[in-house]
Amino acid sequence: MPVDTLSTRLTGLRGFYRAGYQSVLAYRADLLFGIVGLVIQATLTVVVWRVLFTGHDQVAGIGSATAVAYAVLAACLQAVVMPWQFSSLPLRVMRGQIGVDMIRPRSLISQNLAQAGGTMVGRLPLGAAGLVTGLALGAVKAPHSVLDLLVSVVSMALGVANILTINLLVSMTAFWTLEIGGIMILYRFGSAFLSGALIPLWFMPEWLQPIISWLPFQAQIYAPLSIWFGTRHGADLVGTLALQLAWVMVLFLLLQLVWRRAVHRVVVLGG
Amino acid sequence: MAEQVKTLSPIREDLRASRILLRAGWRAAMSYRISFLSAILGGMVLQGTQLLFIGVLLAKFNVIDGWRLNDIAFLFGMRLAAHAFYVVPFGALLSIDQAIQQGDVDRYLLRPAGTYLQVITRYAPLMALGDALLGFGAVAVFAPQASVDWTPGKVVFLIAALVGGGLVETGMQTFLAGLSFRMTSTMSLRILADDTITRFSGYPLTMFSRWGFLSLTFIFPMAFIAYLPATVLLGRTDDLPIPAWLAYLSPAGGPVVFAIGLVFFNRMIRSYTSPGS
Amino acid sequence: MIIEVADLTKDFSRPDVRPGRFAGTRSLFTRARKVTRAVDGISFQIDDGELIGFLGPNGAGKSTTIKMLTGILVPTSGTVTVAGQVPWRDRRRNARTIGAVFGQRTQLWYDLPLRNSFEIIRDLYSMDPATYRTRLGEFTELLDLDEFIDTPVRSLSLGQRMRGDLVAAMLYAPRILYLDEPTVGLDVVAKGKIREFVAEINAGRGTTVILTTHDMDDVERLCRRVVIIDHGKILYEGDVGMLKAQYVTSRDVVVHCTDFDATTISSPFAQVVSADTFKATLRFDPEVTAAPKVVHDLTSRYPITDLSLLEPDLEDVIRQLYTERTPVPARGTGA
Ligand SMILES: Nc1ncnc2c1ncn2[C@@H]1O[C@H](COP(=O)(O)OP(=O)(O)O)[C@@H](O)[C@H]1O
Ligand SMILES: [Mg+2]
Repeated sequence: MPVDTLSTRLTGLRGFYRAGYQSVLAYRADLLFGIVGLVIQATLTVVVWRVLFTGHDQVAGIGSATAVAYAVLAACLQAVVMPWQFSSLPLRVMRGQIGVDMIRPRSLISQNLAQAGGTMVGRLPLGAAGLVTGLALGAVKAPHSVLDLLVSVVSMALGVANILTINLLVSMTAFWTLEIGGIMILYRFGSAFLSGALIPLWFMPEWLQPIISWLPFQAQIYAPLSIWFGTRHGADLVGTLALQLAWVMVLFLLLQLVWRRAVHRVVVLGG
Repeated sequence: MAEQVKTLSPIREDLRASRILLRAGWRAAMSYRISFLSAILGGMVLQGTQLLFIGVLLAKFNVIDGWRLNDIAFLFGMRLAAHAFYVVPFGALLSIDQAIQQGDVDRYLLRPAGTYLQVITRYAPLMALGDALLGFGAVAVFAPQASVDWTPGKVVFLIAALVGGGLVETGMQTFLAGLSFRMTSTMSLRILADDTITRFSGYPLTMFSRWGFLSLTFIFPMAFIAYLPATVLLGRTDDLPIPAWLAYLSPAGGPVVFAIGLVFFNRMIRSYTSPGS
Repeated sequence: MIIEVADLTKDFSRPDVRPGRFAGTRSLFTRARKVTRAVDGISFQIDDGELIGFLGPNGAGKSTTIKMLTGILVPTSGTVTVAGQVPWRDRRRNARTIGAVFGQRTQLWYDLPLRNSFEIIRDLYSMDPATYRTRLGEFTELLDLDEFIDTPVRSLSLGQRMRGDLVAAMLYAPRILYLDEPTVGLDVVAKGKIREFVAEINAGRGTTVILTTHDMDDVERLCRRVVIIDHGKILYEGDVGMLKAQYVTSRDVVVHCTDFDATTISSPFAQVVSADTFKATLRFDPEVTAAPKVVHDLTSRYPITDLSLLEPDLEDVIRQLYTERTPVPARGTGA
């Protein structure tokens, strides 16, 4: 039996990563429309926020420029990390192809994560297009310091890990029920609201803020962007990163747990 | 035995067929009972986040482009209810790509009923019930609070506008769905249209500048869905860079846009290349 | 003449993706398209009440032709007339004239019991309840639907589903039935049932049937006339018997014996192909010597215990035709 080193493991997964990446490019029209769409929506979003701020200097301590930039960056991030079909797992379960996946020499979790990672990379042009639009409209703000920039990039990586894990967790409901359309929508739009992709936590009602900050979703988009805009310092900054990391670990453990039960289900009940 | 039926007009025949097919669709949907609740909840959440969004923002900002919370809420409610008039009867249009890629359209072309009709009755869009619940609920709650002096005439206008708005959205989606006969997939295009409508058709559209407004009226006719009729009800037609009578006629935009979409869709069926078997 | 096809052609085009580095990225910007001609100028006619075999290797263009006949596809050029109508233009009228079964794809309502599908069809085609009941009764008996008629289609076996599809296509008694590989992947019993059914609706009810299949047993048992196509062009059109006669230039006779050494056999009319102690195979040209003469010669000269004359095998004929790929001039067209 061949030795399973880290490097052979990674080579094994490269295929799945590439499959995800290429599946984005295979539907060229989808990607092009995605780009056009983001350009239009970023523009409209900028207008909405600017109009909202007419007559206000600051709301909840946040100025117009920051709010507008936040909206654009959040839209770009979301477009990259949240494709309409964020996992092929439900479809494969439904078609009974999951058995084949489980025979493969890599764990199903890493297969799916690699593929989702590839899909994200394939969608980077979308984010770039949104960013360019934002820049053209003078709506993007750079971080205050290089440190903020570096830390927010680390924070974004943790946010992406968080999203990938939760996406896969939610997709795994497919092992228990065939019709998961409703659940997917619930998750997609619920998380868009709770992650701060639509509205930054700054503007949420006071009673809602503590609830949201105890959920894992705010670690996806709100956390890295709040660092980007320099609203966190010192202990707050470190605490944010620590919380993000903790969420990723907890979620990953949960994923293993759920996966174990799913395997049990497939093996014992025949899917 | 089918001799008498041949004399029926295609429209009556389609109405009959739609009753039969809808019943089949609902029967199939009910065979997966568990999904019922989650689907309806999904539909409510999808549109609900937009309502939440606008609610949270207005709690902080109070006005958008001179519109106060109560009128914006009413405008959003109109848009939600109009959307329900699209998704409840026509929601299955969303699956046009699958219908084409899996060759289900083969079957539709072989049966004595309209192809479009069979596409929209492919399955019962359970989620749409959530949309409807939320949309009609929103109108019922926000209409009395809007700055409108309700008269029977205005109520009739509102209902016509909601149905018309639904047909505008249907027409646009039908047009885009027609492109699926030529292109591998138009899902992203249709989601883009849907998403843009979901997110932006509930604003006073004149805020997007003169040209923005004109394109959203005449090119991507989103303004007909809720904004134009709302300016009539709220007495704000002076805001518009177009003649007021166009806003008064806006409910009629629905049938027009729908007819254009349907004619295009039916024309595009000729380009159908059934997947190889 | 119920079906007339003249110069029928169908092209498919799709984006041309060249392999290589960044193929995906490059395809974002190219508009190159590749055209496949699936059906290439074919013409034929089918009489009312005929049962015709439509044959050809994989990718020959059979399904594409059937789809144009049924009105699913619009021809690139050429004309199709079915019962006086252009199928894709008079779609609704055509729909009541034809039934179709595609072996690869079901036309039934996937999530509903088979019986529900039949009821939907009854309503869609506005059948009166009495006719529906008697016809469903007859078909149920012919195809043994009883045991699975209340099972959801998604849980049916292939053979059961195919029988369901056949009934769904014939319930409203269309004048024409198109069958595209209805027996593919079925076991012997299921195939037999389907053949019986097809023979009955053709002979008993006068339905015109167009059948594509790769199973030569289907053809031998059901069809008198065949159209064979390859690469979208007609290779042969005409009688099955004539096709064999034309292609089979030799026939084999096998003799068995116990009282003498079979290796010593010889005949002025036939050539020994193989021989061992108990059995010999001889080959002769039926155009030169008639089979009875060969048989008589052998039986009169040797004490033979058993003799069999091998039937010309359609399978071999078809194989030969596909490999040579040259059109055969039609002889003795059934029409
Ligand atoms: N929808 C389609 N798009 C592109 N090419 C197709 C399509 N359908 C069939 N073809 C091509 O047309 C040819 C004939 O196919 P088909 O009619 O299915 O053959 P057959 O049924 O005889 O096996 C094949 O080369 C096939 O690849
Ligand atoms: Mg075929």
